[in-house]
Amino acid sequence: MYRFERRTDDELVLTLFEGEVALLTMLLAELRALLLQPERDNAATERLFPRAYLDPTEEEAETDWQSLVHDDLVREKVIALDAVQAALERPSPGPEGSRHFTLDRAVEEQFLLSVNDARLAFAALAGVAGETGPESGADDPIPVAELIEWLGHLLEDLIDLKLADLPD
Amino acid sequence: MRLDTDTESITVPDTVEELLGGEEIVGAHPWVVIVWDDPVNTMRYVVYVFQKLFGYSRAHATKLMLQVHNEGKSVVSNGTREKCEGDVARLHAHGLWATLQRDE
Repeated sequence: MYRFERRTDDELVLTLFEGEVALLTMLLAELRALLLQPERDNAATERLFPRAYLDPTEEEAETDWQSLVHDDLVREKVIALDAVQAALERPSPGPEGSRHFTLDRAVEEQFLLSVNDARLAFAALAGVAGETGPESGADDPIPVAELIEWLGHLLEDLIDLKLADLPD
Repeated sequence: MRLDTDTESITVPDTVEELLGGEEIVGAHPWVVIVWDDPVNTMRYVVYVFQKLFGYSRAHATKLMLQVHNEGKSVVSNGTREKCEGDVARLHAHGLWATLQRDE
């Protein structure tokens, strides 16, 4: 079963099983809470909001840039998460216990960015630093590696469609 | 620099930057945007972002992505400091690890 199917130019249908809906809803809610934390000293927010300048002599420019951009970046990401969450709250029945969700062009882009942000944030929290992927602990309720891999599959399915919309 | 003519004196800027009121000159002090490799973003996602944000062809976007992947980083755009700051903000909005610096 394909996860995404473009029905019309402005209508994309996403198919998820009930368990996947619950998992995605939980992850996106956790990401939203992370974004709205006043502190920015955890691995997830450091990854989502990296420095613009690496040169230590540009510290003033970095401070100015962060003060200009950071709040807007947070706001855009939260708006995207809220739009995706709203779409996930409007299911229609799908086959074999699955659910269909209709995304317009704006929400499909917000879905892409939100799922990618979730991968980045949870990988950063899990301490992913190399290409081998995160290590999952035996006690993890949902192994982090599997979580990130699942989000990756979701993302890649959508990228297939998005790339097809762009010129070669 | 001051020039005296028969009728008036004219102050001439010593440098082009001064003439432009301190604005940075494109070409004289170009800035570049660098995207760095990270272990999480997928290759095709990075290609998609390069095409979407910069309008690059699939081939050019793929070439830049492979440079990021194989060499650890790639220059993806250039211009004034302000233009590059905007590009970095858009790349961060898309989850790519990007920085700007003076072109060396």
